[in-house]
Amino acid sequence: MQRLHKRDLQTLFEVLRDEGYAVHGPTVRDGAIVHGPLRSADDLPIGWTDAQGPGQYRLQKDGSSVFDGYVVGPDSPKKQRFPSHETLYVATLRADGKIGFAPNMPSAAEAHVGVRACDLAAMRIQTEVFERGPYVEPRHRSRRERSVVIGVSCTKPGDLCFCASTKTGPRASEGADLVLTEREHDFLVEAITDLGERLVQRLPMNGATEQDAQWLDAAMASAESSMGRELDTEDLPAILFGRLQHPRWAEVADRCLACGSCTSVCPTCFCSTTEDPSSLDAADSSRERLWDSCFTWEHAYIHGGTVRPRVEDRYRQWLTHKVGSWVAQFGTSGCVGCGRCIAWCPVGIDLTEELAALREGEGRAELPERVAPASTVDDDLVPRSCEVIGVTRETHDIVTLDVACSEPFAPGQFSQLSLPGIGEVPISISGARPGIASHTIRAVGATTRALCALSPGTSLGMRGPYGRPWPIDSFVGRPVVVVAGGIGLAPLREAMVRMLARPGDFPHVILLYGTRSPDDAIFTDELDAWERTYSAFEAHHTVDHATPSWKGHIGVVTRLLDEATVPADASAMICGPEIMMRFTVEALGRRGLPDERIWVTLERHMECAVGFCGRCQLGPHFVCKDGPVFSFDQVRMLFGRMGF
Amino acid sequence: MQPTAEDLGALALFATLDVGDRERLAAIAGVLDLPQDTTLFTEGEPSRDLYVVAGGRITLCTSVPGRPETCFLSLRHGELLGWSALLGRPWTATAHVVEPSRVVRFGASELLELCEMDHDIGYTIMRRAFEEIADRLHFTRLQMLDVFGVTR
Repeated sequence: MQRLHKRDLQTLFEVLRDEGYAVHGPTVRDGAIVHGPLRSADDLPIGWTDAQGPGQYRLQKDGSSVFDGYVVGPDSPKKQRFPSHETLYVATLRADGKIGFAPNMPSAAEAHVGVRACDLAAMRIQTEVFERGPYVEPRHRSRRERSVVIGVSCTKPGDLCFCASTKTGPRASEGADLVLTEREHDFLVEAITDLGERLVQRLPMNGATEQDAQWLDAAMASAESSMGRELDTEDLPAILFGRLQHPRWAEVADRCLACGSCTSVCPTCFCSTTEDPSSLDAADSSRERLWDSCFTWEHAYIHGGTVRPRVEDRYRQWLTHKVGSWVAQFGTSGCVGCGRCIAWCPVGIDLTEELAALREGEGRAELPERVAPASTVDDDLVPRSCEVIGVTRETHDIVTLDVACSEPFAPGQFSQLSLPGIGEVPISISGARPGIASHTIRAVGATTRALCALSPGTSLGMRGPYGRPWPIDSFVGRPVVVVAGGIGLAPLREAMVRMLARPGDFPHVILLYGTRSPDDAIFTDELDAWERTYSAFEAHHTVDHATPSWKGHIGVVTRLLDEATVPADASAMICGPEIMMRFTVEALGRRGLPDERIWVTLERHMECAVGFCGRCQLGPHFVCKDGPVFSFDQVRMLFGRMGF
Repeated sequence: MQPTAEDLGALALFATLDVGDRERLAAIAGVLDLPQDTTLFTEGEPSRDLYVVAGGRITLCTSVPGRPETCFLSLRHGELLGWSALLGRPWTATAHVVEPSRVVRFGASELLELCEMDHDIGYTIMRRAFEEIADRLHFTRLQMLDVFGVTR
């Protein structure tokens, strides 16, 4: 440890600039202390303090020469590594009809000055989100690797601080290269990394004594005991997921405006959305990533509606994620005790108060432990241009596109298909031939309608394949019951193709298929051919609404599940509307199939497909990277539950 | 043709009854083989018999003015058909035979009389009928949800 005189702080800025860093840190702007560009030490909020309470934040000038008299403002260094608005790529329609995709990658080296322990913890947490895999966001990694972080240990926590409870402060260390602690005339300086040590070598340091170290320990102990808030973090994930019907959720929803302020100021929230602006002639477009909030109606939107229609659902999603399922996903809570969500909530909802209230009640539900990915792979979210080489109209609103594709995939996986300036959607891969991946698409929104209108020879953007496939090898030797609803047959088709090609392994494949009407069925000729060709295969088709000429089954698909169609030793694969799957699982359970032998594939709003955008969560799971195929015992807790 | 007790044992409605009870039921039942494209009963007509499908497929349809006849449910092996007869009400749907089918027929009055005389048989049959009606209600609800339609 060493000492730096306050008058020499400017030297640190000069050294950082000389090392090639653009310096960012706390500064006063628009009546708040924000994290912005700093030209010199004079831009720091010298002599400013802040008064904070639930729904309250006021800056006050006290006229002192103290650098570190404030707590935290609405900003955090999050926006430097995960900008609130960022171009992911630029797409250009070339003269040859192909689409050119040019990634946008950051190049600047930045210094983050004045980062408190809570925000250092938040930066570590965001690194878990974006870089611990299986997918790695290269923009985040690039910014992190190019940056230097000057941390600050807090000696005067605020009224809303509780980092001592979350064990993320007040002492700054991990994640910083250099840590400063302000005293009356100097800073105590600790070099945490080799880079920090190198910076120290270039500063006019004075040696520190044993008394200085004791002063720091005492200051930290004092800060730890003077936190304005406390939070009991013990067992929070199990408590929250065991109390999903606690009356407190509805009570807080009566006050919550679903404005998303809490998520905007949170230094760990990572949800994002995308937009695809284009030139008027659609020749040039880009994909823009913007911060989003789980409090918006669109956050959990899937065609036709949102899975979280009530404010109660969205508040519960936010809090159960932040301090609950976050642990299962990333091995750490998503709360660092900074108190920003309390100060910037316009109605003053206090997270610590809400969690204390939820603790009063009954019920626990264990979440799975985090399993670290075995390997990692970069994903820059940029599509490759692929040619449509075949189009098959399956029904009045369903089309199969055969897309030139050399990537191998497994049945049950999906691709992200995109059209520049229009959008991107996850589409199941329904079939494969060498060099071709088939995607069966129902026209339900702007992007799917545009995809369904493509003709052979045109191009689209494709990412993937993504997601966990059907585990068909685990079904070997058993009858396999395949239950499909509507276009839900598409992600099951290639799995059946592969099972029927191995009759020795799959002696009996039984398809139970439900559609709205006979005309809404897909792959009908192929299914008829399979029944003629493969003795192992039998198919039963039922419709909810019959046409006058229909002589087959009428009624919902669950009516087809009986002793004749569901052998008790079977494994089952299900894809269709969630409510159909729910009752199918119940019927299969009554036939004696355990949850572990029932596999479902889920649909949630996916923007990125790799776990970065946060939108497709189902409790501890990301449907995109942990699914979309799950065994039912993995998802039973939340499957079909309102608001998840 | 009369069914045997064994025939009735193969139908879920009677599966839990002992042989003696099934023989008493078989004594008041008949087996009908129905050709394809015939009509078993017609909506609005008085009902007298209750049926259990023993094979094939029978579709229930209703007339809606201004629309083609609308078929909303098909019944197959083991399913109850025509419970209006137990309540003495007219048929609420028309039953079309869409595949060559076999049904077990009970005169409603004879069946009700047997159930009155032997409450154990009556309880078993009414409980099974109740289960089936509960299932039908549930399935009807799912059909009404139109889960494959696109919400706009």
